[in-house]
Amino acid sequence: MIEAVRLSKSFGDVKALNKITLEIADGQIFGLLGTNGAGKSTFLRLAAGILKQDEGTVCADGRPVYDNQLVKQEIFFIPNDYYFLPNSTPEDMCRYIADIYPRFDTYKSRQLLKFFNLNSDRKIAGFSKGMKKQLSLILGLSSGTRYLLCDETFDGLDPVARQAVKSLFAREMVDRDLTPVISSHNLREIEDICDHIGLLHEGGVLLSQDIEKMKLGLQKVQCVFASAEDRVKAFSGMDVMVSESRGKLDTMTIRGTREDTENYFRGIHTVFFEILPLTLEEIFISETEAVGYDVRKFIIE
Amino acid sequence: MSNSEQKSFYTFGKIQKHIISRRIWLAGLMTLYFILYYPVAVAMQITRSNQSGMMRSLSTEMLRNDRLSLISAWMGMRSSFLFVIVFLGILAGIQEFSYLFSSDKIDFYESQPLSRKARFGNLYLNGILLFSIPLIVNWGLAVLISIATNSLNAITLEELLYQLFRILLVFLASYSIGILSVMLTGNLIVAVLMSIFLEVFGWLGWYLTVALGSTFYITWAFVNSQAPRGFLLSTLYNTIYPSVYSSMGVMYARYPLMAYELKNMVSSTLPGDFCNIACAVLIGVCDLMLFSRRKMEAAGESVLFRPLRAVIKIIVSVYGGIITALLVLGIFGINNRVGIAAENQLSIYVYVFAGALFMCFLAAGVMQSIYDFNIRRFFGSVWSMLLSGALCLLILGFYHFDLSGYDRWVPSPEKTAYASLVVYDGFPWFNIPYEADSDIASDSPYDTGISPYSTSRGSMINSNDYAENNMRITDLKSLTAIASAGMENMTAAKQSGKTAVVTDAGTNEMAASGWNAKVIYKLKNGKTAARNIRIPYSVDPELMDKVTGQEEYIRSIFPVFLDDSLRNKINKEIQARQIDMSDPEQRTIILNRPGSFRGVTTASEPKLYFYNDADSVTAVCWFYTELSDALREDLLKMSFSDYTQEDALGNLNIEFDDYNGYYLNYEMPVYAGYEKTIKVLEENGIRLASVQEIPFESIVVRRWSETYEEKTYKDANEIRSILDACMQTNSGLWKTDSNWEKSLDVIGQPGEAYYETRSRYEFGDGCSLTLKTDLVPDFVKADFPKE
Repeated sequence: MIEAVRLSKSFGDVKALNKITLEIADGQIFGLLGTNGAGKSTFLRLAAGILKQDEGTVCADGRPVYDNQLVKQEIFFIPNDYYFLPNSTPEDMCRYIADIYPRFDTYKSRQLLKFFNLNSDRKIAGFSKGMKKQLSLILGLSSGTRYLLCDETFDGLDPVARQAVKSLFAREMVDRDLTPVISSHNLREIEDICDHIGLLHEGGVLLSQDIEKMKLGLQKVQCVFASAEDRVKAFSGMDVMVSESRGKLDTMTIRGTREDTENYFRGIHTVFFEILPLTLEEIFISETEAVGYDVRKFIIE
Repeated sequence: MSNSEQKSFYTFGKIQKHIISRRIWLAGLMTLYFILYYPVAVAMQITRSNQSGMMRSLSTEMLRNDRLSLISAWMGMRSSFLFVIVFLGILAGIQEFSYLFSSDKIDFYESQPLSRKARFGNLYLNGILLFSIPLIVNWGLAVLISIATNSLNAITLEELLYQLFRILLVFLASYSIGILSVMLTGNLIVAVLMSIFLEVFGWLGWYLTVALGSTFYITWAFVNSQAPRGFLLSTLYNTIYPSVYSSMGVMYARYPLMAYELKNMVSSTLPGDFCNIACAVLIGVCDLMLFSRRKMEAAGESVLFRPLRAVIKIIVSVYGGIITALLVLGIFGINNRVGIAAENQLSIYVYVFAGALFMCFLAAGVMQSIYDFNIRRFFGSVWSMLLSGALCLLILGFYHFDLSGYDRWVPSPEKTAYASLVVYDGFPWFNIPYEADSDIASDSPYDTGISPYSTSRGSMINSNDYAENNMRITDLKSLTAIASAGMENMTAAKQSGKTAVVTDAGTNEMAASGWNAKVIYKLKNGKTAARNIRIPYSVDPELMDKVTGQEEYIRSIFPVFLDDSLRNKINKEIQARQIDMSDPEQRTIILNRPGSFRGVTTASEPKLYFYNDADSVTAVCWFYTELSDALREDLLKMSFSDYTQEDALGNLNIEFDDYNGYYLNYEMPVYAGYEKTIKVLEENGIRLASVQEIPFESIVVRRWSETYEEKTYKDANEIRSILDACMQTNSGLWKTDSNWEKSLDVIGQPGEAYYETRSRYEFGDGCSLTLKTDLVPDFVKADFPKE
């Protein structure tokens, strides 16, 4: 588990992180969401032990990360622009990383290079941006670490590659208890990968929740009420977060379990009633609007 | 080795391998330099020496000595290339830690499971390995080549080993400075500027104090021993100090060092080497601490630590202002010897201070722009700009008004160990090969200790240097009284607002008259202080006698006390030539009388030239040792009052050249009080006729002024009167401005009989005579009335 407690970091007059408390549990894919300047990269760098926090703590498995050789053997950080040794090939990089990370799996790295169709003897300087991202992921996946921190690594990957990586993550999570942490400023890019989402904004944590739990805890109901009194009863008896009316058709996002919602609506006369699946986007909008924040800016059409 | 030790060594080796693979160009550069400097250059020089020596038919021993000289000069402590090591050190330091300038690289390296200490250690060690391995390997090759070609002896090998140690030291110190530059800055260009700043600011600061002193202080004096022996951060200064400030003659001599010379060299370089050791250790520790404290997010910033920015900005600005002020004063030709006339002072100082302030503000603005990478921030942090200007003006004012009391300072005798007094006007000059312990023989069969082109070794020392370094006056009460009088003389002249002293340009506006001298104090705290003074002509003679009559004073200014090497050589020549010293004609060979069988000396013959305004004797003087003994006795009996009460009879010049590297020449006045000396000269046929004895047929007096005037006197009485008013020579000790009449040229024309026994070559145009100021005959005064 990666745990940050009241973590703060400033760069001059700019407060990048302001006393954030965040927990990244093992065995899940954690998505770190936020706009540019929210503090995602800063958090990841603190978690990777690159930066030293001004206040608070950041620990991996209960041990502080900063300048801790043993803990850092369990963490592999992939920044947005991964640095490759000058004039090197993928083979050279694998050899280098293998010398640094004691559990680096050379066989796996070669397999993954084949899988992604990357020539191990070709100069990396000639790779495209997407190929470089793939290579950085290969190095990370082969490193044998327990935590893989990816800073906007998925931004720019094509959907096929993204799916491939997702399945690789799943396999690694089963095989060696890998915990990937992926940051992005695009919800749609990571919604089908992550299990848990943390939302940073202006150096603070807006929310941090398990996606399934979020989905389980929110219901989207479409119904036509028999009478206005039934409508009032419905709105007053349930925690309606968002509602929309089109003629007689009401669409509501209600906080509560499906069972509770169904039981409650049994007591209300409706002409039409249906519980619909919620997308992550809708969940987010609901959750963040409830705290007065417009999350639509994360959703790129 | 335990498993964990094995593992960490294995990891260390792998990390080193990876680092070196990314430092190929640096390793290549260093390797190439050392290959060329050591085995290639040594082989080439040895080959050339052998070829050249064979062409000159040098003996085997001389050939070997030449090779020894080459090796010693090229690879030893007199090598001129230590500044390259400084450059390589700084380059390596910046290169090793340059990843800190790139955020991408920082992400890559700092996320890796390696502790900061381990990373620092690996990088630090890598730079040292990249330098020391090619150095030691190629140095070793050069030594092997030298041994194989019989070009090395024990002492030279010792010298080479010590120099190798020094090279490593210089590298470590410079390396630490290069790393420090990286730790303090966030990009490559500023790091390079920072390393230059660190190397230079201490040295430059000292140099500016010297420049300010020499510009503003009327009694300013500098002796080499006052130069700092080293600066903590300036490895460059520490390496060049010996060659710039050392008074050791061996620095540029071409022969291998002997044991005592090596010892002296080591002593001379030790303070600088200690500074380098301190730098390597202290700055190295500082580097590690800063590496630990440095924020990784600082990549790209100019100077990392905010307080440091202001300090550097102020230092650079103040330096710039002071340099500008000195330049402006230089443009006006103002220095401590040429003061500013009162009516010009205001305007010149306006230029000086305005120029200084302008440069201060400009430098401060440029620094701020560099810090913020934004030209619009030129006037940012205005307080530091204003502070720089204020400091600059304060410093200039401090020197201008002599707030430290430099021009009034005379040390108390209780705080002074000893002192020396060097007088420049009319004093003996000499250049003597000074052989300290050249007769010390080494037991080594390989240590011949001589160069193939010289029969001797040692430094050439001149009169001023010798007096400065060897005179030990212990009657400090008298000396400081003289010094006080001399300094008051100078400061009074400065305050008069006129030109303080006569310049070389010969300005007539003389406000301070007296004997130009330098006093050098060696204080009990080990420091050296010096002052230029002008001893007033009105100084108390008793005080002067107390100082100038001291044996340590006399022995330090008269060259005859340093002629042991000459006496040895002459004695050897006498034996070799089997000269019969009982035969006057063999003891003395007069050269400049017509009919002399030869007119010049040959190699290794001591030449004596004794002359006054109207007569001269040139001779080979094999009796030199006897003459030297007599001079030494006579000199020890004379002092200031003796010299001021009588005029010199003539000048004695001694010259010796063995045409093989040993050359000696000195000159000094001879007085009637040198009774023994005169006796020895006369016994050996050296007699100088006085001016009054010469039968002049006419005397021409000329005055060069706005109009040229000339008068010829042929009347015997007039000639006699003029001759009676003449000195034997215008040179001599403790002469004053008013001793002789400078406005008149007096040429005596002897008759033809004179040239029967005198050289027409020397006196063919007549004898240039010297009239005493207070004895000029009335008829001459009438003929040449004062203008």
